[in-house]
Amino acid sequence: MPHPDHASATPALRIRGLAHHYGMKSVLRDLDFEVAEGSFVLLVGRNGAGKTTLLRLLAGLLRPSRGTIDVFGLDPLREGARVRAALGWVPEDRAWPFPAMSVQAFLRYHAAYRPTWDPSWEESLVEALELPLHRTLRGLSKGEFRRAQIAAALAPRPPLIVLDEPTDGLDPVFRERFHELLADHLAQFPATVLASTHIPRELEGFADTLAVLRGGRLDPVLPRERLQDEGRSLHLSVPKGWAPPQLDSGVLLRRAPAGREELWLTLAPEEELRARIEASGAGIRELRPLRLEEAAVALLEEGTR
Amino acid sequence: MKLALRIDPADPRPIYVQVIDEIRRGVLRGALRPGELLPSVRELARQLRVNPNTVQQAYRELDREGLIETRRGMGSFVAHGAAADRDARERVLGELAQRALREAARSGLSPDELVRAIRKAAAPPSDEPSHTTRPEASDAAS
Repeated sequence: MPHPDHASATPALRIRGLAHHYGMKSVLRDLDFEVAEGSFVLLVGRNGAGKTTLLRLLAGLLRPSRGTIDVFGLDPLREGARVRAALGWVPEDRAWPFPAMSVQAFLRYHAAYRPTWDPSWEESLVEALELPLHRTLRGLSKGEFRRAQIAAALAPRPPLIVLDEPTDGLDPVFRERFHELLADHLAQFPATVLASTHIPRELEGFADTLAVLRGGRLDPVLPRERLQDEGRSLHLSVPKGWAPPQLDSGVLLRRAPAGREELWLTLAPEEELRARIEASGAGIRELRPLRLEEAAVALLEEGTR
Repeated sequence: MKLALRIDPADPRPIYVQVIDEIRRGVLRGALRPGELLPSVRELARQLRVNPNTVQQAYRELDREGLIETRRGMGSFVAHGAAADRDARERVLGELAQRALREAARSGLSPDELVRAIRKAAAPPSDEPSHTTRPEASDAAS
């Protein structure tokens, strides 16, 4: 099976010193980011953190206030059409200039711009997503429109897939089916994926990198291996008047005291952490790996305190 | 072939480790026989709704362990002699013990208490309460 090693050295995407502001409101500032070809990045951020702005900048639909973007060696500003031709994009909104188009015409319209459009894969997508081909876009529900967007994004087998809240509006059956389809798609047509979601749990089986957008930057960017090695949830029992150990910044993601017990979420080598906690006089009642969603939520909360 | 693998999203083990453990268990209990063809990466990724890279990683690991054999263009097969693999048995046991210990710790129970409870649960039913009074001795012997 043709499969790029996801640790491949060629970056699919390279961003340097990116800044963007709308009038006086600064959304992104000094953002650096690199995505290796074949990796699957889960992008999380609070409402208004700038996720959609970042994705629109990648597609060349917005001009950055400062900084450079490089998508497969192309500059989206100067070579926007070529970048968009490499991009399968499921946008967050349903802005579309031709509401009287049928779903069929919508797909034909996309196919016309995409030399790599795969008619037989399109057929499978239409079937799996149960697209109402002969209805007009105007009359579609949010979920139906979203399913049409997904088919249009995947049928050209793009090397870069950008998903902005892909399951928004989908019913539970189509949510599952979308994940099935995504797995099937990636197995046949390996791609680099950037997915923004408010429900990290949904893409936990896919993501190999968690990128947290906060304060206008992507920080931290955590490979799954690091989360597995270092992300921990600890249930502590603490003595009366306990003074917690001083930890380096970025180690303690969340601390929830409850009387003589505390719940800690941490990101640090386990042995060292265990030693410092035990030296402080606290007991560790339970220690388990952190789930991706727990880490995402804790990091987002930490960023706003 | 259809393999009934279970991936639990609430399980703290990484997904590729869960895939590895599930296949190992399938071999151990005889659901997967030596020489049998495993589902393709595409099939399994689709079934489990996970990144195909993750399934690939699990297969690579199992191949390295010698539990499966991947033949170019043909797929992955359960290796001959895989069922008798003592290491595989040990690993499943070790993983099971780890999980039980985690659960016990979560409820504030000690490993000794857990061992005693397992012995008690596995022992044939008896009306005599006497055997529950000497677990310390058997612990020391093991």
